[in-house]
Amino acid sequence: MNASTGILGLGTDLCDIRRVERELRATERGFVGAVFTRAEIAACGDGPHAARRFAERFAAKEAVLKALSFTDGRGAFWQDVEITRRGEGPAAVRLQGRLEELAARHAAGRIHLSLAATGHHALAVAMIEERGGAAPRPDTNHTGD
Amino acid sequence: MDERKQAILDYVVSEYLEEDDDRTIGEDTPLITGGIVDSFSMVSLKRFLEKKYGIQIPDADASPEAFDTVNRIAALVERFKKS
Repeated sequence: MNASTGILGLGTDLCDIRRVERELRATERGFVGAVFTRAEIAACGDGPHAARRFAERFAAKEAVLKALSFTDGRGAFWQDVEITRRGEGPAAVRLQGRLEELAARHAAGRIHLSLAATGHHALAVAMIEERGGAAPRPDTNHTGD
Repeated sequence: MDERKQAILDYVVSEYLEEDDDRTIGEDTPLITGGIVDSFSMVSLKRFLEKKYGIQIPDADASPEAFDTVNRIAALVERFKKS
């Protein structure tokens, strides 16, 4: 049974994979460490598809942050949004830190995430349901592509 | 314009303006709402400020509003240089 009662937020973001490639080459700029969690860095690896994977996750983080803008959580909370994805399967979101607190306080429930990529761009759409029922679920979520 | 604001302005122009972009950027030019700095660029801009001025800008303070003009960015740096 779906206990949610409505949609609280919707966000989308488009990330240019070539910009990520440039940041990956300029390691001294610290892009990866500033934005991604250890688990995300491990998942993206350093192979030929690393830039696309990082770009998808960056777009997903931004889409989730935009969808959560109703919480007034405006800031550089990139590491508070962790994107998990097994291979090319569905992606999921785990909120942590301040963003998890804000989401819980504002009755945010399940977060749906959809990712897509072409040769040069990664696209993400995030939708946040209002939490319904008694059981709070601010942190996890199912997604699809 | 003081030295800090000039350094921030120079960084923004060199990093985020295309070579053929002839817009003039000043201390109060909207950077984010004006489409010059986007969320992706904010990562490197925040890193630049932290490294250059030896500060740590908390995530909650690195909002689009705080990064929207050179004047606001300089004020943010000043705040964390003092703390």
